[in-house]
Amino acid sequence: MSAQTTWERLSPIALDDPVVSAVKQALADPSVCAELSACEAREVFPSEVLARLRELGVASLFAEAEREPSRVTMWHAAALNAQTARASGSLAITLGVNFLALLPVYLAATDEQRRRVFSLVRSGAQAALLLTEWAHGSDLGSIQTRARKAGDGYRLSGQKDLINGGHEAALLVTLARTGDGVAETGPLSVPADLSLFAIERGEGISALPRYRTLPAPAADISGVRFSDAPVPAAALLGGEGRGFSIVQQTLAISRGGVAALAAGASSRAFELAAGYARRRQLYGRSIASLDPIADHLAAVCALDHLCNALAIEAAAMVNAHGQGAAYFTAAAKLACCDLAEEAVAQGRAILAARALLGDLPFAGLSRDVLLYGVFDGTRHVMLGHLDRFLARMAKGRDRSAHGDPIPEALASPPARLVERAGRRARPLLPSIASRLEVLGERAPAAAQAARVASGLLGIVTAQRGRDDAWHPDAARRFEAAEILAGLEAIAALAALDHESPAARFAAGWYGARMAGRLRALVDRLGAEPPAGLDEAARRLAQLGEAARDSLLEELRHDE
Amino acid sequence: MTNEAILARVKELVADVCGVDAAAVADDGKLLGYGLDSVRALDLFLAFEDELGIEIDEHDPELGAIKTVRQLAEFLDRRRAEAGD
Repeated sequence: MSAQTTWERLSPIALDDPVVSAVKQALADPSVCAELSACEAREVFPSEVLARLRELGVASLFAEAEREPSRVTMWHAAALNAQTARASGSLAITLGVNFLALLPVYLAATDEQRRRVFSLVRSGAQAALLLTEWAHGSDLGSIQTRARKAGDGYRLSGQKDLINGGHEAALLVTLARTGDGVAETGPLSVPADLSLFAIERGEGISALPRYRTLPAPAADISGVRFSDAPVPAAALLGGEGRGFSIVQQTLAISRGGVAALAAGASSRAFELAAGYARRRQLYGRSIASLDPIADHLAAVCALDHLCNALAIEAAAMVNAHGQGAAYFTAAAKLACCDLAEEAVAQGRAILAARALLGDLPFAGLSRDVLLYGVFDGTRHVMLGHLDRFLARMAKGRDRSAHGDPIPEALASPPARLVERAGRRARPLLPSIASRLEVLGERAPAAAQAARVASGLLGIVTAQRGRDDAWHPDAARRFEAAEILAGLEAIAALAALDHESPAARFAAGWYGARMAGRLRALVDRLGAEPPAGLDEAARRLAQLGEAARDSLLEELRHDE
Repeated sequence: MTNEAILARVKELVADVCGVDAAAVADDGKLLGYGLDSVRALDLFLAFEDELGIEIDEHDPELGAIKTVRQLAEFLDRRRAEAGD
C-alpha cells in the first residue's frame, strides 16, 4: 500500500488545490502537531493554528471576494474535514463548523448578504450555526429563541446552547421564532414561524461559559444569549418563515461533511494501529504476525476502507446533485460515524495500554471519534430518516431516471458549492439491491451482498401493513435501517475498489456481518428467512477469508 | 390533466413519499394516517414539481387546512388553474 491516505487512494477526484495541499502539509508539521496537542491538554482554543490555516488561504476558499469567486466544492470541504480530523478533533470541528454555517448563506442569501458575510469571513471571522437550545435539540420546531419585529428590524431574545463556536464566532447564523404558531396547521404544514438570521456579534449578545467536553477539549462548545439584541432586517436569510426549510436543506448537505470527519478519524486509527503492529515486537516477531492481532488489523483496515468509501460517495453525490443527495448523506453520516468508532476500538485492541496514554496520539483519537455522531443530527435522527427511505425503497420505485446515479456522480467534475448547494432536488433513492447486483458483475462479494439487500427489502415489503410504518416497533425498523446503511458502505467500496485485498476482505467480512444482522432481525420478527440469505452469509464469510491472507501480507510489510 | 387524473397521481405520490401501498391510499384518506409530516411534506412538494409541474410554496396559507388526499388534489388543481395550465 502507498503512503497516501485511504481517502486519497479511493477518491476518484485528485484535488489539485494549493490550499488543500498547504493545509495537509501544515498539519504534518511537528510544530503544528505540538501546538494542537498543547491546546487540547490545556483545553484552550487553537487560535494560532487557525490563524496559520487562514494565512494559507482557507477563508478565501469558502468566501468569495470581488473578482475572486469562492471555488470551494463539496470535494474541498470533505477533503479538508478528513485531513483535519486525522490531526485533531478539536481543530476539525472548529474549522468544519464554518462550512456548516456558510451553507445557509450559499443556499439562501442575497448577493448583498453574501458580500457582507464573505467580507467578514475573509477578514478573519469564525462562523457558527445556532440551532440547538438546551431543551430543544433534535426538535427544532420547538425552539424558544424569539425574534420580534422592532422598527425596521428585529429584537432577538433567547439562548442557544451546545454551540460550536459560541464564544469565538463573530458571525452567528441563528434560527429564531418569528411567528406565533397560531395559524391552522395540518400534515402538510412546514413550520412557517421559524426564520434564519446571519448576525454579527454585537449589542445584546453575550457568550455563555464554555463546556468542558470529553471529545475535542480545545473546541469552543458554549452558549450564546440574546438579550433583546437588535438585528437588522438585512440579516434575515431567505425571507421570514423560511428557516425550517433552509435548515433541512443545509443538513442534507452538511451530513456528508460529518461523514468525512469520521473518515479522517478512522484513517488515523488505521495508520497508528498498523504502524504500531508492525513495529512492536513480542516473542521475537512483530505482533502483526500474531493471529489475534492480525484479526484486529484486518478489521481496522476494512472498517477504514468502508468508512472512507461511503464518505467519498456522499461527497460525490452532493457535488453532483446538491440536496438530491439527502439519502446518501444520511446513510454516510450514520454508517461512517459507527465505522470510525469501531475502527478506533479495533485499533485500541492492538495498542492496548499505549492507547490510553494521554501523551500518545491514540488516546485523543479514542476521545474525539465519539463527537461526530452527534453533529448535524444524532444517530436516532439519521435512523429516522433512513427508516423512511427504506420504506420507500422497498416499494420498488427506483428514484433514478437513469439507473444507478453513483458512477456518473463519481465522474462528475467538481462543482462550486455556492451554486450546487441550492440545487433543489428530490432525494435520489436507487435500489440498494439493484446497485449491488450490477456491482456484483465484477465483485463477487457485492453479488452476495445483493442477495442480503434483496432480503432486507423483501422483509420490509412482507411486514408492511396498511399503515404508514412497515413495523409498529421503531427499534426493529431502526435495526433494518442500520443494515441498509451497512450495505451502502459495501456498495460504495465496491464502486471505488473491488480488486485490492483490503476491499475484497472488507466486502466479504462486513457483508457477512450484515447478513447475520438481517438473519437476527428476521428471527426477532418471527418472519420467514429470505431465500438464499444463509447461503449468502456463508459465501460472504468465505470471500472475506479468501482475501484475508493477502491483506495481512500487505499490512505486515507496508510502511 | 383531469381532476380525476390529478387525484390518482396525488395518491400515487403520497404512497411513494410515505412508503405505503398505493392501494392503501383512499380518496378521502387522512394524510396524517399515511405518515405525512413536515419533512415528508417538503419531499412531496418537490414531487409535485417534478411529476406534475406544479410549484408549491411550502408556506402557502391554504396548506394548513388540508387534511385529506382529496383536499390536496383539489388544492393542486386550483394552483394549476391559477398558473394557467
